[in-house]
Order: sequence, then C-alpha cells, then structure tokens
Amino acid sequence: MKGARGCFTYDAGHIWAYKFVLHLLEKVVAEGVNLQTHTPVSNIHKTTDPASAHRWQVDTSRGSIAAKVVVLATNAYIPALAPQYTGTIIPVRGTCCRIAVPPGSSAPTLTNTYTLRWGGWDFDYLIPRGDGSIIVGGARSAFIHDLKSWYNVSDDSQVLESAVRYFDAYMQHNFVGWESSQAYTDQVWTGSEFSLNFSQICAHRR
Amino acid sequence: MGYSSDGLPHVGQVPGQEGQYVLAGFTGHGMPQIFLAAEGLAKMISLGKSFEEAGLPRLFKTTQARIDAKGIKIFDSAPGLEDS
Repeated sequence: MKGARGCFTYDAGHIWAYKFVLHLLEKVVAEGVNLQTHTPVSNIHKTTDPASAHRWQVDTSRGSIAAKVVVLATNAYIPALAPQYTGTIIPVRGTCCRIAVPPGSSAPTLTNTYTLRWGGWDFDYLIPRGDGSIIVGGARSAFIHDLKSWYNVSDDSQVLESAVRYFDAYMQHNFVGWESSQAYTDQVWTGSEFSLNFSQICAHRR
Repeated sequence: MGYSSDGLPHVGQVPGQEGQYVLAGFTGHGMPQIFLAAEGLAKMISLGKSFEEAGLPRLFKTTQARIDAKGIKIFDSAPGLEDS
C-alpha cells in the first residue's frame, strides 16, 4: 500500500453474500419450506378472524396468511411494519463498487481482504475476487457531511452520486504496482457492508 | 443497512407482542453477527428458550427501554454531526 503509516493483520474471511443466501434458500426449499418471493408484506396485525387458530394475520400484495409466529428480519425496513421501531432502527445508505482490470492489462494479485483506515470515522473495506476484480466499499468522506444523503434513507435503488467519483483510480492511488493496470470502476451500488471477521465467529463455536 | 440508535442489534421478542420477534439493527456489522444471532433466535422460537437461555449477548436483547430511549449514538462515529 502507498503511504501506509501502519499495518496489522489477523485471520479473516469473505463471503459472497448473495450466493450464500441463494444456497441457503435452495436447501430450505428442498426441506419443504414454503418460499414466496416478490411478495412484500404490507401489514402485520392480530387476526380478526375468530375461527383462526393463529395469532397473526400477515397481509401481502398477493393476499393474507395466518401465522403463529412472525419474525421481523427486514432490517432497515422494519419501521414500516413495526412503527414502534421508528427512530430506533434507522435505514442508512452505504456504497460499494467493483473495480475491474481490462483484458490485456495486468495487476498484482491481492490475497488478503483489507480495511483501509483513513481516520477515526473514515475507512474503506476491500475484497479481492477470484476473477481479479476488486470490491471496495466505504467512501464515507465523499458523502458523510451530507446527512440527508445517507441517514434515514431506505431507497437503495439510487447510488450515492457523491461517492461514485471517490472510487476513480482507487487502486492506482493506493496500491503499489497498480499504476499501469488501467483498473476502472465497473459498477457502483448502494447496500450493506461486506466486512467479515471469521475469527470472531470461530471463537463462539463450541 | 439498518442502523440501531444505540449501536447494538435488536434481537428477541418484540416487547408487548407475543409471537412476534425481531432480528435487526446490526449497524453495518451484520455479516459477523447474523449467523449466531439468527441461531439464538431460532432456539427461542423452535425450542421455546428464553432470550437468556439462547446464548445471545444480553446487550442485544430488544427491550421497551431501548425502544423508548432518545439519543442517537451513531453520530459518535461521524464528524461534525453531533449537533444534528
């Protein structure tokens, strides 16, 4: 890394979250779980049907179902279904990108995931993929001062415009040996952070 | 991301709502916490264990006091936003 003032390493891992979730869903469906996608829940309330044996009625865009147990696991979107959590669970927008190297160019192979810490509140996280591309997320300095662009924002269909430029020539600026790589930002998206620390997980295993 | 106003996840039975549970508010650190948090919640639901018996960190328990508490701690980790 260029300009690093310090460094430490520890065991870590990374996971392609979307692929992992799809594999999990495949397994549970094979076990007989009833999975319904593209079926947003609009409301959860105590059943009004006196004949129902189940406490909850869950209304969706495709009809209602009765449930004994409901688990709210929609994270940032929970206040829409459980208004008591408004201001307690707050949707926050982050940003992430994929940096690619064009065919014919070469770049050093990175074998570690990285956290690049710029200061107390400012850091990026980086994951090298098997195909040589780099996932980088963070870019806080580009948008954190504009509170309304990230705080209490649940629309993650829009990228943080101020963050898009942050990733330009990121690898060339920060990593030794990438200067001629012609690495470019292939994609930018908003969403959740990817940092993962396997050593924390393994410490809990019995 | 779902940030929690006090920086800690909300896991367990939704206060006052029997049969309704929450698993949320990981404040950008869901990946290292979600697997065991979900396992603990699954033990509560499928085995009838209490939060305290399910192997979950006590500070993760969702409570009425935490829902009612004012003050947003996440600004501690962002510059110049303390007055927002």
